Amino acid sequence: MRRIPRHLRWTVLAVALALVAGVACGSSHKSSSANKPKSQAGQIKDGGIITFGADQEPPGFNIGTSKDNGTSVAVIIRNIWPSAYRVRPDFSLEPYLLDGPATVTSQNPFTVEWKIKAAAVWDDGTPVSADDFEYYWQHCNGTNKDDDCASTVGYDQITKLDKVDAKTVRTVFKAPYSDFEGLFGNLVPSHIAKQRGAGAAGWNNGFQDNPGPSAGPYRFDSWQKGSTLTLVRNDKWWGPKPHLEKIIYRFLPESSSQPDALRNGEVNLIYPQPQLDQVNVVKGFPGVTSGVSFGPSFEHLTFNFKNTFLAIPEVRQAIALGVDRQAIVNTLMKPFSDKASQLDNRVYVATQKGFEPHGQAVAKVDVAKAQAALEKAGFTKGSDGIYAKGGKKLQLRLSTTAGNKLREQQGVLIQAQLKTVGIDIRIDNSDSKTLFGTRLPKGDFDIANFGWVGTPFPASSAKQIYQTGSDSNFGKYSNPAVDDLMNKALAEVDFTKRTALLNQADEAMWTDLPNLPLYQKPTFLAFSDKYLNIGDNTTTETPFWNVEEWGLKASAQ
Amino acid sequence: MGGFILRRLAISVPLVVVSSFLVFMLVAAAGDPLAELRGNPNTPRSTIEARRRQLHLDKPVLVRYGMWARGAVHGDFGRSFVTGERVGPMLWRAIGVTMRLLAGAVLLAVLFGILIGVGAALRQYSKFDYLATFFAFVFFSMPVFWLAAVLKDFGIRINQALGFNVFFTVGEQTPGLSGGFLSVWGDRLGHLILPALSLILIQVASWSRYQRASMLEVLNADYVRTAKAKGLSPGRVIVRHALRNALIPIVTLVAIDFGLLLSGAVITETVFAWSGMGRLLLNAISRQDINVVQAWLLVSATMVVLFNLLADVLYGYLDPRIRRA
Repeated sequence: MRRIPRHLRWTVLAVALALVAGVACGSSHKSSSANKPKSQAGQIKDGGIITFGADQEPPGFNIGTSKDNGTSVAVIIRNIWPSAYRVRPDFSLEPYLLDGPATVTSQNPFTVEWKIKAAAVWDDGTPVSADDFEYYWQHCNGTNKDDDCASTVGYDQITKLDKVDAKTVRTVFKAPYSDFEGLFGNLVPSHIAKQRGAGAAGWNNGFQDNPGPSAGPYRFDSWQKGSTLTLVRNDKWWGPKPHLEKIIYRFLPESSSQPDALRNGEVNLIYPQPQLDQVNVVKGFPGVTSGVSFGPSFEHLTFNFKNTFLAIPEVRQAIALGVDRQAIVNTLMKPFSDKASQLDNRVYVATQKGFEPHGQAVAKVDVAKAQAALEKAGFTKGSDGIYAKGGKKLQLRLSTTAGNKLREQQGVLIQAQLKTVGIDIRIDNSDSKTLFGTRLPKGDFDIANFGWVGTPFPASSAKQIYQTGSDSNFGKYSNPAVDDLMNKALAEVDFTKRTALLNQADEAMWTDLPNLPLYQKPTFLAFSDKYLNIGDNTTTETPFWNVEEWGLKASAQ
Repeated sequence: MGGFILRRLAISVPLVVVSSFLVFMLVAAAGDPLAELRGNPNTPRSTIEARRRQLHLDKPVLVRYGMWARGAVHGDFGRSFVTGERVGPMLWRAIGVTMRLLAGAVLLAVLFGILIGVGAALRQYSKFDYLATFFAFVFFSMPVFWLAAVLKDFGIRINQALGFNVFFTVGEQTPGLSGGFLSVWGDRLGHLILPALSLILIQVASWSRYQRASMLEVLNADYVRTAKAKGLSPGRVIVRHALRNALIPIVTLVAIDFGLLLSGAVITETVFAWSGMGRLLLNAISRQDINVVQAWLLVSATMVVLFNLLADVLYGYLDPRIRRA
């Protein structure tokens, strides 16, 4: 907003105070547009600043470490440390740092060649090189216990990394690995990391206070801890010149303060965890564009196959037929967006390329069918309406993270729905430390409700969750045929064939029912409509995925 | 007086130690700093174990308390579990922010509290007195978070009516603002007004009632009647004889309240996004950052104890009857 001389402001203020009531009554909350997260293309002017209301301050900058692996870092570092591939909003991939897609040069041993863009350079003049790839692999292949790596998945499959030349890397894998495009995200400037600490020290702690040089569209300028962090345009960036001169991250961890800050023009963009009342309030702000998208996280119910009842397929089937997923969506998710729907695939989320709905046999609630399934398995209905077998009532615990209001509400809905079927559900929640740290790994649960995060690399994440004996396979589900399909998918580099294999695996799992997917969780983006080309990307790229295209409208003041 | 101070300090030290022990145990039991890591199925077990060792979470809780206490005695509060930053500088930064918020707010609240209280007492049962009482009870019963939210909305509406920002709703200043002295300080003032007002209105409500009661008590005292009977001017009677004595309780009350406010006007800082002591504590608790919570407690408990001691000393200094008792 424009500024007038300070000595005049207070005079004008005194007069304006008398007008406020009239303004308040007369003003109407009209949205400038209805839920369009991506604005129209138009004329963009060079320069300008955007201020982002960030949920959290980053703990550090090396997003490859577990301590820094979060959205608070992702929204900053993806503008500074580019990745081999960029993930688009539909989860598809495009080469970013690479000069074309990485190529599979040999199937046996499985070998992938990566060619880095010739122009890619850190802003201190050092080229982005094979050294940076090597450094990342060395600290994330799991061989050094002192390295804090957020995820070694994939890197631990690489047996050898050759630096063919300064801009070409060849990686040899133990076995075919189709999700290789997910590797080498947010490359660390290795020459700086080594200066800041030898070995694990540089990797773990070398980027606490600043990320060092940039090979992205923006570079780090300053950080006032507790207040703001500023990025400025990187003149050495090899891509199209960004329009905006500066990005300011303003730390507002209290989500309640973000809408007012947006309304008052103190921030121009917010991306909070959606809360219904907040979403509805922001939708009504004039001069603000907002929208709800559906992210990669999805809610589900995991079944413990070690429970004698849940080991019976008909019991799991009865639960799937008794839980009215659409009703849960209507109650909890529809108020956010009328596009919310139940999720009918546990490997792909609905917004992802490759998604196919499966499990039509249990897609709609059918109490009669559920009861027929139980009776087929030898259960008989008691006088209290609850089924029993061998003198034992069909009673199951439903556990989720205590204190999470959404999940607690969900639990109550599911309990009521399954009571109609004749299954007695006892709510048995724990704090997240106990649930994830003790109960799930030890199998101390019957039905667990929590979230999984979908990724652009479903082959490796499906294997992580559903493979026989996998650490994250909390329910101890096992189907050798499904294991085989997932292994084949992981080895299949062709996208169409890989998708087909994973969807076959998912179809098989709709018969086995190791879990019951419920719905995708929403994300919410709102920004001043002075800006163009901002849109949500619910992957780890965040809405900043195309930051170099953002700009102020030519008509904006 | 010296003996009195030493006795109070002697009681305060074990109190602070016991408090620190209790809070450490409670925070350690309340959550898991590694919960986020454990919740991600891709995090290797070795990483979780390494982080557990790094944060000494593999040691018994009593040993961890001992380690913390040993460091605290030497002024080393350790590092934040979340950021790895030294806790000492984090605390000083937060104290500075809270002081900047409170300094002006408390001064204005004291000034207006005294003026309104004295005025209401001098004009007891007048329209002014009734109005002052009414607004005092209105603001006194108003929750701070609600008042803050109302002020924010009010400020934004004024900005929209004017077409430029006079009032700001988050932070201490506009990031990246460049300009002259007036521009920068005008911006800071614009950021200060609403949070300061939310504190001032409630504190004025409280302090003006105390001041009114204190003033009324003094106005009915024998020595004031004597002063009037001696023919002194009303102004001299009020200021020199009545007010000086009536100020004693409010001075000690302000000293105690200031110590409490320094621990963080939590709600005000949260609503207006000022990174002061209150917000530091809230963030540390939500992220199970034990070292920050412990250091916050130690500093806050020390400030409360010191300001309580200051209140007692001031009371003794201002009222000779207390000194001689």
